[in-house]
Amino acid sequence: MSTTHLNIIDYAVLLGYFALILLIGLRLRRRMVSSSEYFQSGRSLPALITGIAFIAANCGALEIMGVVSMSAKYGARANQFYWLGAIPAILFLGLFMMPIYYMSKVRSVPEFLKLRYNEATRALNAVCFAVLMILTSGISLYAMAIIMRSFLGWQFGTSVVLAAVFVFFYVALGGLTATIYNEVLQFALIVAGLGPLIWILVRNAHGIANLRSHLPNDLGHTWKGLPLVQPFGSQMDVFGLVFGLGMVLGCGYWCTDFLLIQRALAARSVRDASQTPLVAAVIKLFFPALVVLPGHSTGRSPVGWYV
Amino acid sequence: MIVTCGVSAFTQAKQAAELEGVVYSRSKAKSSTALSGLWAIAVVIVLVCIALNIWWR
Repeated sequence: MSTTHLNIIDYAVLLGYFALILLIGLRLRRRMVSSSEYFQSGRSLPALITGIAFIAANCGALEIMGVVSMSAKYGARANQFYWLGAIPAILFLGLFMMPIYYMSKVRSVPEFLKLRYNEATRALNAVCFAVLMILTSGISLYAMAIIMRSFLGWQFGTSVVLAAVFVFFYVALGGLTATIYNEVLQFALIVAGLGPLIWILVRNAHGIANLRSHLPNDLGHTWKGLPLVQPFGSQMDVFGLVFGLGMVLGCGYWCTDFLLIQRALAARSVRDASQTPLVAAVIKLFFPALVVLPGHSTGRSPVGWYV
Repeated sequence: MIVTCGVSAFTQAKQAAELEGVVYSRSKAKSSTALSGLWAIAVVIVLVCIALNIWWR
């Protein structure tokens, strides 16, 4: 892939973005007077903000690269990672688990596990989560650096160090509040960046139906062609999707991931905390349009679908 | 061993019940969160999700 040459406006946008996220951290530094302010934003944020942050914490370079490539391979079946793999678990979290998490007045999921069970359970969960975060953060930084190298020609190490330094500073200065406001900003940028791409893609393909019709072997369909039960010799089946993805993986991830639940714990009331996953669920319903559709066209689209 | 396991299970269940009483009053949660409103939103989300699955099936 040929790299894009940046002009003065591109550099101004990049510098403006980096300056803005540092400014958010600096402005919020004075508010960080207690552990509650630092780790829970003083429990003061509305559901709309925490809901967007909740879903933004789940997005990033991994989403842009991973889901697009997954939809290129599996077609519309990648939608299930947003619908069946997320919606039931997110709704369960909002309706049943968030009131318990929030009213227990804990600052983290490991802290709740200590309250509910014992210190050993808390330690086990904390260690597992730390290992998980190291691995997923590494993957996210790797994906981001690959994108920057592919499009802008930046050195891999430069991108990783630059991103890590900026994230460290705004988190260290502004705590969870700075993180949440930056996540809202980043989510807006993701939508603003992918939105025009989808519009151009659908316009050039003369509609979503035409775009889907070019996919081979039922890949334009979410359910069509899936065997009911086929543990061997099939990449996906209905039973595995419903019980494996929907029940086990979905609930295991969305209902216990501290990274996500921490956003809801920053809500200003128990009602806002419960609404936080519901806001995220609404966004999750329509997010496939931004990441699955581009994957549909990858490598299969007739010349001219892109700009 | 059975008696020990039984006593242990009973103790854990008792502790869990006490904890729920401390950290989460169900009646208080229901009144303060107006769960019925959230349930209505959740039902709408499920219906839209089903509609999207049918449209993109």
